[in-house]
Amino acid sequence: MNSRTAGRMRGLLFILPSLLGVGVFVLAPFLEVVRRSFTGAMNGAFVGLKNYADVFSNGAFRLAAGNTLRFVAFCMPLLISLSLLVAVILYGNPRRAGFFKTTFLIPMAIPVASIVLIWKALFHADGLVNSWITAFGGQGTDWMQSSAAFWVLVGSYIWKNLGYDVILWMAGLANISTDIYEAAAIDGAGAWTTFTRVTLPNLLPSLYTITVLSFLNSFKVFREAYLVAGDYPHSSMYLLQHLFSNWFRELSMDKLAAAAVLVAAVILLLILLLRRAWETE
Amino acid sequence: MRKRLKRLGALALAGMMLALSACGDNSPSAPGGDAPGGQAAMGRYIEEEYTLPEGVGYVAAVHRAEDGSIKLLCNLDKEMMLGKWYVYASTDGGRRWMQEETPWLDGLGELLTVEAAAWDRAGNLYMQYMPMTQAEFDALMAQMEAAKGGGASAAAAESAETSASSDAPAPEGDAAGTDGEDAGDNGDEGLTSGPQMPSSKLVKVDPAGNVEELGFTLEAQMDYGTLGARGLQVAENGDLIAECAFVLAQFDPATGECKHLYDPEAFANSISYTTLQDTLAMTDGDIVTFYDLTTGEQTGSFSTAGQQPEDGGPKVATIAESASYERVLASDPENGAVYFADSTGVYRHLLDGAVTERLIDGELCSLNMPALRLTDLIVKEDGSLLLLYADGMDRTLMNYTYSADTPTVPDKELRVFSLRDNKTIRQAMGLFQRQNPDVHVVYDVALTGADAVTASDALRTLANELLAGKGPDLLVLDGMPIDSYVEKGVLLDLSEPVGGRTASGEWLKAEAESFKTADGRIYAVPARFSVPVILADEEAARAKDLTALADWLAAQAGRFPGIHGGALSIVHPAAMIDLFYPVCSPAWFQADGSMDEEAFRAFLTDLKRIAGSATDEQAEESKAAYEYTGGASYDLLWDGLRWTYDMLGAAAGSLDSVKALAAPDACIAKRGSGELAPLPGQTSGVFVPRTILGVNAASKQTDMARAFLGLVLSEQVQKNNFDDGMPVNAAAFSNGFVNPNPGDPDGMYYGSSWTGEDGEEISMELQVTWPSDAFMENAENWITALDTPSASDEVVKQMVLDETAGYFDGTRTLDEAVTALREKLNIYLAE
Repeated sequence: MNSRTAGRMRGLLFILPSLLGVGVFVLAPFLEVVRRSFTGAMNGAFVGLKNYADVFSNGAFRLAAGNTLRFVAFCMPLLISLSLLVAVILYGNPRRAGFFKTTFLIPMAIPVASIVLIWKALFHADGLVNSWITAFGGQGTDWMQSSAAFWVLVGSYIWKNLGYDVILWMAGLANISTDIYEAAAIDGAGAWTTFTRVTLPNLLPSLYTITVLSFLNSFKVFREAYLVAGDYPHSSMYLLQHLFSNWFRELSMDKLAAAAVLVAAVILLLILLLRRAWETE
Repeated sequence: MRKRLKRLGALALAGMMLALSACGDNSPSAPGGDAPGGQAAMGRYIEEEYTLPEGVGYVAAVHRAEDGSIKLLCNLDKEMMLGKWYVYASTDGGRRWMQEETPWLDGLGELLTVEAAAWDRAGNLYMQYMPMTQAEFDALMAQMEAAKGGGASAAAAESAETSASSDAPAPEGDAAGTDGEDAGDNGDEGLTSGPQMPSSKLVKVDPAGNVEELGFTLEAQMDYGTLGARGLQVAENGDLIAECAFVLAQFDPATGECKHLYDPEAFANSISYTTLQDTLAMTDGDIVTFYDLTTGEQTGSFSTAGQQPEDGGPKVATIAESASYERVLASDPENGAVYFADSTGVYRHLLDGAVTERLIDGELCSLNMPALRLTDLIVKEDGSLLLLYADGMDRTLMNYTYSADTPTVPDKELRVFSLRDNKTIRQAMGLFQRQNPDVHVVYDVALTGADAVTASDALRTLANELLAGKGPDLLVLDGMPIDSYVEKGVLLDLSEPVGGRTASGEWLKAEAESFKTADGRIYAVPARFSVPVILADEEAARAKDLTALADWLAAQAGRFPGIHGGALSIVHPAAMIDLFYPVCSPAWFQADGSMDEEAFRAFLTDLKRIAGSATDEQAEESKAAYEYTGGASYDLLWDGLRWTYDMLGAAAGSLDSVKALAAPDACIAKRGSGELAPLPGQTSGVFVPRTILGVNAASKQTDMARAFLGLVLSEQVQKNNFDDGMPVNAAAFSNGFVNPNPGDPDGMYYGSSWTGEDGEEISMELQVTWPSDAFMENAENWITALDTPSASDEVVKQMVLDETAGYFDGTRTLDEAVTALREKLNIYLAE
């Protein structure tokens, strides 16, 4: 065994525990889900693609998938750009950055149950927001039982994840060599030109990580939505997780497995596309 | 070398961590509770029914004498405490009984009411009683009849007749003759001029039968009045400890002086207590408190709250919330131990110890049966136990003997699951355990109220178990997605046994076949059913549908003023939805399963009109009642009483037992007109299936599960009324219409009084006796003619409640409410 092979073997040994964990706790169960997506709910009889056909023709799935996509499509650009803006501002004011970094991270430290209580206190039909609105002569609305529920969900997601993304962006900003900024300044580049021609291109590696993490974090917003509005929230905030949770309760394992496979495929595809875009850049 | 040592050290450390953290066996052991070494834990108390003396009625005292014999002071009349009393003795631990010669009892009086009695360890009997001659009794009855004719109170009657009438209203005797208006007017007069009752006496009877009258009676003098004794025990120092309503009083037998009062903090209808050496043990909520009988001071206490079982041990029911349980205490003088028993089991606590040991698991014997009320516990010399139960008007004596050769928990296990506790199931469990001592029926109740588990959480946990093939054998499907379970093949097809039983007339056909599918299969069988009903004048009771009823109720607006008045008492929107959901929801769905918007629109419009018939204060009152009870206040009795006195236009509610027909009948009789009928809705002929049973198709014990299901639907179980629905068993249903207590013509009296808005005293009263044969026959006919099962879909009901609240409070239009519901409902239906 030459030293190169031995080195490879040593590397394999290092990733083996993690690989085993992923294999046992992620891949094997997922393969079981794939198998179930071709069988009946409880009897295990092979049904071909029927479950997939059922899922595609299911109105609840279409609504939930649409809402989830809408949520992700709206929230992620908003979160990424907003957090970048805050990160750039804070990076430019290092003396005050410490305090604000902590402030932005506080939402992450608040337990979900507490957030839910805050939600209820704020957005209940008789809650604080409506009382403020009516105090200023406006007309209150039942936030959680109207289409406004979607925007409450968006706000919650941004509020909770902004600080985390700001930290990631600031780490990316710190990795950009000051020599490049000095060279740009000598060449006469203004602030905007420096930002677009120097900062942004150098933040692309961070963009990939932040996008993937923000995407995965977007699924966690279900916890708040579920705890506030239960199994059947307003249709505008009815997410895939609601549907999966309800299908599991009703033992609809056939549709649940097929939908899970579809969602996994979409997520994988998106990540691969992102990766490809990043590599091309 | 050093590097290698480091590697070896790291490897050893990793190995240790793996062994310590991942290899522990925390899995629950197999039924039977494996002891260390893999052998099943052995030893269990075996239950055996002993025969009491024939005809035993009221039992005033049970006692184990120093020679080991058991004594019983009782009468032979199940309906009256007044009469002749007898002493029975058993020298073989309660298996056989012999009546003792007690000439002294005859000498005390012709007829006696024994208020409290107890033996001391030397064999002396202390007895407080009220004597009466037959002539005095007859005169008293005549006096009461006369008083009743003028509106006499129930109080006097009940003190003579005891509370027996509460369980079984007697046949209609003079109910029709009791003029309602007069009765109401003269009620107070009757209360003050009632018949004089003889005074009580307290005697001590020695073992030779010599009677000594003590010069006092057992009465506790409280700030708020005098409390008479209704229970007695004799301490080892000779002091008499009497239960006087809500306190215990300790009396010196020589002087009659009340030495100490023991007042529990937690309210209870009766106080359980026992004495041991110089200590009094008394229940106070979930605590057993010890008091020093010399000083009256508290000396200690222990909690009756259960602990989780050790791995492999028998399941311990949590009794943390058991303050309302009937609990009985007893002592074992030889071993210095206090015993207590409740529906969860029998426990022992050494007086000077700190540990409470469970001897008997309530789920493995009759203790768990809700129809049985534990009244007495005797610890015998050999450690075996005698438990005396009241079973309605009957008494049941059970002996529990320790068998070292019997597994602690039976080898076989039958698992029953329900979302909420169900008394019918618990009753069947007890009987099933008796019939199958080798089977442990494990009853899992998901929503105990002791934690934050929701129905949805519980169903997901159940789904996990079902998917893993470890689901319960029998499911009580109330509140569960029955259609989904049927579609997924979770439930076993029961069409064969159900079809056979309905064809033979053993089970009511329409009710038992509530869940018959289009292809004729039956996967779920209700054991009980309820009927939404209305008590009103003919025009309202015979309204053809909800709209017609709403027309009538809306027309009554303003006719019944006052906070206790109204066209209908249930006018809070959420309560109305709860009330009318069963009789309307079947109309909201079309044949293809989609929502019929017009029907739902009509439903909301009609409910709003009914709500509009009430004043603001009546609406607030209805809302308060709804929030207090957590659901609609379905009280046919009290609403019926208000309707009788023309304070309500109609009374509506749920008929949950055949016995509940008595109150509406009494209301109609007193009012002189009216009718009890199915509640008008958008669908007619509606009944609500309850205690819906299904067998897990993946169970390995489907035969046993089916046998249990058969037992739940048997007459033996269904004859018991737990107010959780009427029986589906035809014999139990029909027998429910037969007066169980024809010897009691007085039934039960109910009354209510309050101060009106103008300061005037308002009072109402009602004598509820067993209904006439004609009324019962008519009721049986229309109930059995109901043919539309309406099982509540909790998800849909919650959606209706959520989405229509805005419509009723004016923040949403009708269109907005219907659209919002349609959107949510479509999601649910599409899933």
